[in-house]
Amino acid sequence: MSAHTHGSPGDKPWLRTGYRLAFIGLLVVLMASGVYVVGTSWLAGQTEAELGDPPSTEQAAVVPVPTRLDVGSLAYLDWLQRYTTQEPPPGQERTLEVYYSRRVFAGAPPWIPHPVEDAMAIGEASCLQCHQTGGYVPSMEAYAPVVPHPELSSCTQCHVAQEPVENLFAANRFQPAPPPELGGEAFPGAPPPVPHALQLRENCAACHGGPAAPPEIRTDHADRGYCLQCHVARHEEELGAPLPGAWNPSEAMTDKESAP
Amino acid sequence: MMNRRAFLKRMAGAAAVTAATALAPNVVFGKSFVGGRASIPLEDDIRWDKAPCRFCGVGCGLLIGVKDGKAVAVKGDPDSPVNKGLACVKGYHSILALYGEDRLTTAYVRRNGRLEPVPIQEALDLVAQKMAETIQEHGKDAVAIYGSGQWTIPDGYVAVKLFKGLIGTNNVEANARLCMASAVVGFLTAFGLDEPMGNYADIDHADVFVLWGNNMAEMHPVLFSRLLEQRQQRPHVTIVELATRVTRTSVAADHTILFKPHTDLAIANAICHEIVRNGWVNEEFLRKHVVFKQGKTNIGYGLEDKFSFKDELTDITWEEFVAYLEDYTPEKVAAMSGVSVEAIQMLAALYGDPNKKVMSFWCMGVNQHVRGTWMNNLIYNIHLLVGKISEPGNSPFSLTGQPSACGTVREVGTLTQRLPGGPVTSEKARQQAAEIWEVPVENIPDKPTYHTVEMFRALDRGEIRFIWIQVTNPMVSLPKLRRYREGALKDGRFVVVSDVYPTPTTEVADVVLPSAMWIEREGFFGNSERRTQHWNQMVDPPGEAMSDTWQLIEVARRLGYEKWFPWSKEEHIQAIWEEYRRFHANPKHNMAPYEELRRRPGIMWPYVDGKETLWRYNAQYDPVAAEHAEDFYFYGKPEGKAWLIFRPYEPPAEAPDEEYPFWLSTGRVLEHWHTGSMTRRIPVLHRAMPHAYVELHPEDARELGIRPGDLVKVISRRGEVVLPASINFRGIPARGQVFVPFFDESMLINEATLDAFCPLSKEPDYKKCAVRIERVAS
Repeated sequence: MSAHTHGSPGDKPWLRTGYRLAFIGLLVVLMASGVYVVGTSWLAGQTEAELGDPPSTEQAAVVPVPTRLDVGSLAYLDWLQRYTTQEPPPGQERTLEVYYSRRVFAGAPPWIPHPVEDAMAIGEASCLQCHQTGGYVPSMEAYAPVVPHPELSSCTQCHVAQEPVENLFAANRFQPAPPPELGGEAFPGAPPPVPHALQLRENCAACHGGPAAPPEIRTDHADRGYCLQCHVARHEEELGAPLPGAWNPSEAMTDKESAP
Repeated sequence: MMNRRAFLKRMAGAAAVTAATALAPNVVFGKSFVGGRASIPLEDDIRWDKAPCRFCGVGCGLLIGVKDGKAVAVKGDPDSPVNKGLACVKGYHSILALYGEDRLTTAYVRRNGRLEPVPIQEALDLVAQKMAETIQEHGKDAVAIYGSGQWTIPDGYVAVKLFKGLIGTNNVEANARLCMASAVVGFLTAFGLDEPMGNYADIDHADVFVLWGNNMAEMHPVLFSRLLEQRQQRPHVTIVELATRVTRTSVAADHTILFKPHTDLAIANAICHEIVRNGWVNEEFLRKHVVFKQGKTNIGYGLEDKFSFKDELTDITWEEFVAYLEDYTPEKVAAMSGVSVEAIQMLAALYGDPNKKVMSFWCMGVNQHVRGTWMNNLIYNIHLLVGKISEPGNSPFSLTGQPSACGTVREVGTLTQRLPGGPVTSEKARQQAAEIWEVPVENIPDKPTYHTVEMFRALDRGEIRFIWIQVTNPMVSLPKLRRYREGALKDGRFVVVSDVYPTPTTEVADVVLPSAMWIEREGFFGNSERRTQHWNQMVDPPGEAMSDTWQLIEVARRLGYEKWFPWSKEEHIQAIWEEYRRFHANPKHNMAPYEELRRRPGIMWPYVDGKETLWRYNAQYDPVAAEHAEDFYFYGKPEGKAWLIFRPYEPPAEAPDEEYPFWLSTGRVLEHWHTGSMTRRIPVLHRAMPHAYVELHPEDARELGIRPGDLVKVISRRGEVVLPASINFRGIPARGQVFVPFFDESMLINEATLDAFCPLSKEPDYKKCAVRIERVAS
């Protein structure tokens, strides 16, 4: 991340803006060429598959993928901030309603709302090209939502594309709990607590920063650094009253301790 | 109204925001968030409790959120050492499997050819009555029960006790025969005891992963993510895949080695050949811990009814073993398998490098194989030759496909030849069972009866007249389906099916019993790494649905066995666990107590003096081994040594010819689990994978004039099925091969498969038979 940081805001703002525009331009060109390369190789694959030579992984992510993120991280924030000068085009904002409509229940992995060209693709070479750092994707005419856990690269393990099917195999009566309501501040003006679990959503910037963030939950002060300082994580309380004598992971034995 | 706590919270909040505004003048608190409500609308009223996932054998720990008596949310259990908080798309959406609209909530009895709803107690009366009548008229071996690795441990235990201990028949089998039997016989022949010596923590130590015919990215996705994470953190980590078809696993692997179907037998021997030739053998390990054996050859394929085979293992010398390997030079095997000499040498070098820890994974590719037991033996041979076994990171690891294939089928022993404490042929095992069950030892028959394929053949022939099928769907999953479907429908056959949804199997049923599933009852599963996992009942079952355990108890009581099944509904699961545990009360298999299992996200056996045994046979970790040796002691065998059993290449039961020129392989997809009766009712999974398909190589498709989506007929000597063509989608088979997933009950590929099986394990080969492909004129 540090390779791309700029001078502090304020000094030579004209330079910074120019830099930003140039960078966005460069990124758009990179992504467009990525889409072109993937697209053409896919088209080629339609007529002529080369067995034993699985789909190309040449377009590896430019940006290093972090290992496990700490809770309250703001990974790729500097990337996201570059996009914030541009609001999403009118009508293309990903509202909170859209955000939840792509999840079976709040906290479920969202499904993929666009066609997936390569059903055999794995992480870095495909999904993460757009979803690691976000940005505008011309072919989708949208800003790519950022994945909060880019270190997990087998994306389709949890996120699946949806085919248009006329009939379900059988209807399902599942009723999810309503998503957590916004707010919950102790009084008007106080920082609202985090109303959801942080597991696999350790990177706050992914959903709360940048142009793909639903406007209802987009923060205007991501540069404050550590979100959990003011927004209290209540995820432990979700577990409800623990079972009597509930297991504590600190009781887990290490390899060594198990030795007689 | 505001209570004292909320008031204090507000006061503290006000103080905090005043201070924060002063410290951070550029932040407008609350601006970007709507609301400002007095109560904090957290997910407070959701109660979370742990359960192992309902689907595959990985055994991920899940936390299930329950609100107002319904399951409403799922997350991965961060405390589970299996998955550390991650799940897959099936696990995250697993609770939807409870709520399909056509859930069975009442019992049905077939009258005048139609299934009619009846009260469950009436249906249970009829089941007991038919069972008693059948035993009286045709003998006790005319009744059978067929379950699966989805049986909870109490389900399987009660079934074994009722059928083997009280009725007195060994007619107990499970779907695991179609799935894990080769792994079991592989373990028993090589080590004398079933199940892996290592555990999933091996993944965190290994440098090399070799996947033997295992599309782990789709079939064991959470474990595969652990492999990818290791490679990301330790870049030298290498993933090598041996496969017959390119998949997502191939895309992620560092090397994919494609081989011709069935030649894995030769490749494994060629790896041994190269290890010996290059002097990479761990001589000290072999001298101290290994004996060399060979078995019978030309062992057949089990295609004929009443096929029988008994292996005989005899000693061979090191020199004889080396001489046998001469048939498997890399050059000879390369010509046979299509794998390059270099690829074979690379594999041998990875296994042989003393500075690399190697983990092998396999599942159905190796097990569903007419020489499945041999393949299991051959992988152990490689690990034994280089002494890479039973220590962190050096681990031959047999994966499972069902959530309790290990916990229930293998440990309880719901197979014709097993009892919880050993084989039925062992007097000691029978005596132990008689003592714990309080029955005369003569009650327990000492000879196995029918393994699964033969059980359904016996139903067809009329030797079995009554079969009770629980928690599995054989009318989709059996090979060569037509014979077994028609057999089940013959006059004079009585079929009882316990399930949660209508399936092709309930279609052949005379009685359908609605089951309570998963978190609608209390239970235990046991996963692939010897981990026993308990869960509480969290929601009520719908309508009259009843757990399979309780259905069996109800029928047992009606048969007059109340004395042996005396438990109350509230306490029966705990009581069954305490009784079952007695079978394994020794340091080689001790199970954890009920209270500990309730508390923790799974505990590995042997559980000795309050500690899990992480690596069996290794004196550093296993107290039994430590009693006998300083390093390793394979105590499953009388001499304390592992058996390295030479197994040759032998041809498959059926291979492509002029009339049927394509290989057919079958398998699963990420989204659907087993026969899809649960996952297809989960809309997000159904939309992701709405139907089956036949996957072709693009060149073959072009020659046949087949384009993606065209309807194609797959024809074998047994039957045919029409499916849409899939080209360059989930996988790419090699030329001359096709692949079809088996989850779709409207496109039953098992009409075409062959019921040939491994003569040692009796597990059928779903991966290899010959078919013809025709484009269906539109």
